[in-house]
Amino acid sequence: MTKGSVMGETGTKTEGMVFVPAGEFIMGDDRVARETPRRIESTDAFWIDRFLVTNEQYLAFAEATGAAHPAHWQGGLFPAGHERHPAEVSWTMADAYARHVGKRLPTEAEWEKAARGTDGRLFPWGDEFDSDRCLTWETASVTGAHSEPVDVRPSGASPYGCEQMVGLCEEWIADEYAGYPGSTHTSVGYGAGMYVLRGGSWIFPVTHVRCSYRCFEEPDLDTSGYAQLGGPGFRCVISEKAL
Amino acid sequence: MNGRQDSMIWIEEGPFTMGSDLYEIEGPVRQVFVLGFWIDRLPVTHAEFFAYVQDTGAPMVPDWPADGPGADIANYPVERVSWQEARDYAAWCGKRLPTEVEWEKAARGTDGREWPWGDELIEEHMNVWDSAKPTNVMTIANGSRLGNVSPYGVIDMSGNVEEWVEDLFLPYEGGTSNFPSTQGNCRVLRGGSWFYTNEMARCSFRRGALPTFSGYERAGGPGFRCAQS
Repeated sequence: MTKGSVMGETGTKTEGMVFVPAGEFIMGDDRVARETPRRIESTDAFWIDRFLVTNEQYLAFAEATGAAHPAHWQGGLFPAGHERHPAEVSWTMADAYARHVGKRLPTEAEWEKAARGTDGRLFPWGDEFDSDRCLTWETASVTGAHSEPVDVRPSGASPYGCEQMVGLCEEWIADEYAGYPGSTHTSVGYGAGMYVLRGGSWIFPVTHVRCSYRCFEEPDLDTSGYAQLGGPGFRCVISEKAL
Repeated sequence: MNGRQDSMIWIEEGPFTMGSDLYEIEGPVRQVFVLGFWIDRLPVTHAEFFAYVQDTGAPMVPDWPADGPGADIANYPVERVSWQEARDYAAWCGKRLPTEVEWEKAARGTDGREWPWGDELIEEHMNVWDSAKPTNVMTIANGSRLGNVSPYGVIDMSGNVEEWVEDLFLPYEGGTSNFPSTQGNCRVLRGGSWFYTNEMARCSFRRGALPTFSGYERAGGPGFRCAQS
């Protein structure tokens, strides 16, 4: 847990979540066209999951609601021992889970603020890349690790106490993929019905695991073909004023 | 088979600006002197690699059907080849893999430009995730993007398939990167691919992979081109 981070109380709706206060933060990065411009944005106060939603949490949701399992779950279950690994699902499944628990997927601004705090740092822990603090290609290419439990990198926590924000698996965002306001960059992916993914994953190198990095996928991505690769995970948020 | 002057390009002896300050692993920016060398104008294709497999009994590429690559992808760059397999192919041709400095000079010329065609990011010039995913393509035929040409006329250095080079993946002299893949066990991949966003298709981008790495089903994997002294 990061010093000074505020955790939700046990037994309340914000249990397992950390508090992100209202206010301005630095969003974007001028080095990469789709992340431009680097600018001041602000959010209202919100709570965000400290950890990614796990396989066992998603399974409980699916059993309670009849929701589909990820297609890559062999025989209808995640791999043995992967209870605390992130659930790798489609955007549609992640969105349904969030609604079921009375929460929602984060906006891009909320996710980025939760990951980097207010000071525009490159990584959740600061400006220097550190392969001990996240699971990225720099490690996975050698060890073969494509997944790990959501709570094994406390040293990678963000200023607000969110863990595993970069690396491990990408994270679904509520927003459709589009150019930022004020950006002159154009791309055929903007407005093409894709949804934003944040944080990079084990398959991405250091260029792609910064707090401001953005990628995208189709919302109903069938993860069955990605059994070898894994797919995106997610975490939920809830607005302070919605409590 | 055409003569070397048709399939390969001569890169003249001299210094060029190598590296970038954007990412620690690409720095520092410095002048590097390179002897003259030949480099393939295009990446090795499926058809070329299949001819080699048939001649030598080398293993098939993972995603090929049992009877080899179809005519529809004959002119596409081969992908999902390991470093050792790429090296063996090059030796079979009487060539070798380019070194990392040779690859980067062939891609960007002498002036330190970010992309083979200049400093401007032009999405239409390269096959990367930014455009490949929304238009539902993976690899495309060699030479499909007419603007994907380096100052020397070397084609398709940015995107489509990543390319193996000869060197071990190590921090450059003066660089401080230190992580599991920089411990002298990996080889360098260059140029990005259809599976990754365009940052990786910059001329100075580099990452490492084990020499046995051949990519993943549905994510593709490395290809290569050859060089000659």
